Amino acid sequence: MIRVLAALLCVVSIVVLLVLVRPPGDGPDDGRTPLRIWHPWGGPLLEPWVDAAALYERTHPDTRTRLLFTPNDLANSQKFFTAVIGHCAPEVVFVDGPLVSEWAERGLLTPLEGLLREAGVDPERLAGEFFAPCWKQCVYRGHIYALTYCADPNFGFAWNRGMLRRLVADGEVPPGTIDPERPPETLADLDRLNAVCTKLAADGGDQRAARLGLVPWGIYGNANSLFTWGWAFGGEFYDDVHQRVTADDPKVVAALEWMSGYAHTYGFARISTVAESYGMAEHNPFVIGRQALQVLHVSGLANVQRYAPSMDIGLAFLPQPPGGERHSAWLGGWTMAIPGGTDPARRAAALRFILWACASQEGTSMAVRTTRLFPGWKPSAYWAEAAKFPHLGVYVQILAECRHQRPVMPVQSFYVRELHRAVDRVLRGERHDDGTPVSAAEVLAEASARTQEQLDHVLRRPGAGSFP
Amino acid sequence: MKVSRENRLGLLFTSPFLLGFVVFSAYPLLASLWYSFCAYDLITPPVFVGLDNYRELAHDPHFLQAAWNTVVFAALVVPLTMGLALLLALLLHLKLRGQALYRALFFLPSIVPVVASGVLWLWLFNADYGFINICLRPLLSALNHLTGAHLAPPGWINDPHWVLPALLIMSAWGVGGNVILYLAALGDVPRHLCEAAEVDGAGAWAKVRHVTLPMISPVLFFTLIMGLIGAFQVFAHPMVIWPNGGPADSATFFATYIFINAFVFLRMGYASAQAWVLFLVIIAATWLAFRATRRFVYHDGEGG
Repeated sequence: MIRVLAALLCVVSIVVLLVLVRPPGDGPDDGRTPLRIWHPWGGPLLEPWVDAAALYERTHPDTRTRLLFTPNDLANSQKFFTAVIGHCAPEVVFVDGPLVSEWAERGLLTPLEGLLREAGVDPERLAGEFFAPCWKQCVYRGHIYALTYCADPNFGFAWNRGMLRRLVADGEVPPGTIDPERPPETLADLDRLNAVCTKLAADGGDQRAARLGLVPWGIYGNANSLFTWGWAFGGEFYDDVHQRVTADDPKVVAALEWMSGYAHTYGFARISTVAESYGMAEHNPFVIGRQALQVLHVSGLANVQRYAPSMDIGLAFLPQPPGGERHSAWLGGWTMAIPGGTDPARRAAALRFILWACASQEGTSMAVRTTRLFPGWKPSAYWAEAAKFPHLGVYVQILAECRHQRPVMPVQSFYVRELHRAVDRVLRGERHDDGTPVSAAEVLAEASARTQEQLDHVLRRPGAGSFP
Repeated sequence: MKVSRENRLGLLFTSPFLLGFVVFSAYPLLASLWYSFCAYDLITPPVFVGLDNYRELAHDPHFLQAAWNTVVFAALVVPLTMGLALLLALLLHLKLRGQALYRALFFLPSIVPVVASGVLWLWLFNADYGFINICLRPLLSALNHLTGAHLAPPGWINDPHWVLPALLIMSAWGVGGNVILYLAALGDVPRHLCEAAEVDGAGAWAKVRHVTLPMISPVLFFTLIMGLIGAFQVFAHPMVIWPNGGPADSATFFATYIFINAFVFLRMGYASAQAWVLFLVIIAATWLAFRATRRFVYHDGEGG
């Protein structure tokens, strides 16, 4: 009797285990092609995305979408890798633009050019329809691995016009020193404006800055800040022809030196104390009127409009450094891809959905309208609509002139971390054992060398480039 | 060899655990040892590279920094949390009105999810708006006024010198688990021993030192070992508050650096090598703790 019970127990346990670990199913078999889509849209961005998928189902009755929210965090990357290796990956996945090359190098994504041709889409014609950086970030080792869903024009230069007017009216700034109506056009203009905006009122030992101008490294992290100013100075971070990491480009070095000049002139600790609240939209120093100048992401604009609707701001292109790039900007944003190992029978349906979301009038307008995200597809009717929103038109112009995207390389994450550290060391005024400060050139040369070493490892490992 | 019916049944009933142990513990453990000698990116097949990963560890400044940070953190946090928990337990052991309420209050932080408490501390430590600095600012201002000094509230999150104190404070906040263990142990201290000590003229401190501490020494030893292991594996708070490793790498620890290498840089081979170094360090620290404290631990069952 005991034996029978024990055997029964084992069988039940195994069945329960198998049921629990069974991969998510496709839902009812109603003859429609099921598309499982892993997307990063939560909070207020979820509803428009759900509506977009519903619209797709109505206009494409042969397809059934199944959305799964997978936030942009590392845990979900692990789940995605596991799903691909375990042959139960979704049919469509959103990939952060800079990760396309990193994932493609490892066979996690399916090349799309063959599928595009099968669908009657000429890849070359499609390439011409996307903003150049949007297309470039999706192409690796000559294959197309994704299409850009949303394009972030990085960045707009925002100034608090109302605050500057008050500074002039209150006599804090000598008349004629600044023009609150116009943005600084050169870096020298910016430095002058910043000097009058920054107020380091120390009360006793309180080292907080009372009012800030610009925080050059406060652009969504150290690495993004260096990308922004490095390109603005005319530098390059990667030579993709020779696969060389070039963070030690003299112009990138000059950018970091300029950034560190602010840290040393105004005090890194003082500025950082205020800038610590960047992550919190409602306490952001620019939003609460404690910071006059800000390099602003398009989502930051939404925060200003939400938390400080009466704030009078101006928006323009970044000021131009001497010998640097005019109207410098780079691209960020999300792409859509088909994971490696996806059921070949569903790839065509997956591609059709991606093309609809990224490169159709209906898809680009529907999905981005309420989210205020920009499509990467130039023919979208959305552009005429977006230009009507206050300030959004400036971002449309920035996107149109955008020339850069983060380096298309398979060790992107490592590189970003190295740049983060390099900026951190210089801003903090790290010193050698003999007391001399470490220079921007030194730390960037180190970051380049370490990243190059990793890159060489990845590119020369056995089996490298064997994908698609 | 004949296996008795009882043994067969025993194996049958323990088989779910044994199966789980082999699949989810033993295999990953051995696999990670193999990966530590390979270049492995989690996705493509591992390639044997000999001792390369271990050689790289010896020259990786970030790993050495992470190792140093971890050792310093462990050396400070274990005595701090044990001492604080013991002190609280002794106080909470006193017969007071509302004793249960106090006990619940001190235990409460340890059931707050660690990510939630990390976000909470992020707010509290904010140098500009954080509650801690809001309290410190007028105090320091008054002190500066009196002494002519220029003391400023700390940059808990952004100043590399204040990252460790911030982490220690967070750890001290979560000592409730240890407090409960010590309270249970204190409840088991035989009353007659305390009374005998009192008869011999022992004061409060002498009773704690010569009766209470020896009697709860097995629990103290247990929390020392678990605390050491936990301290060497510190991960959640640094990862939530300083995902980029903190200012000047001051919040990079063994476990966070392993995680970053494995799942951000996709260098599972290198991360496995680090994990094995951490494993050996923990074994060494535990062995040292055993050696150093063995003669202080009183085991009633063995006759002391």
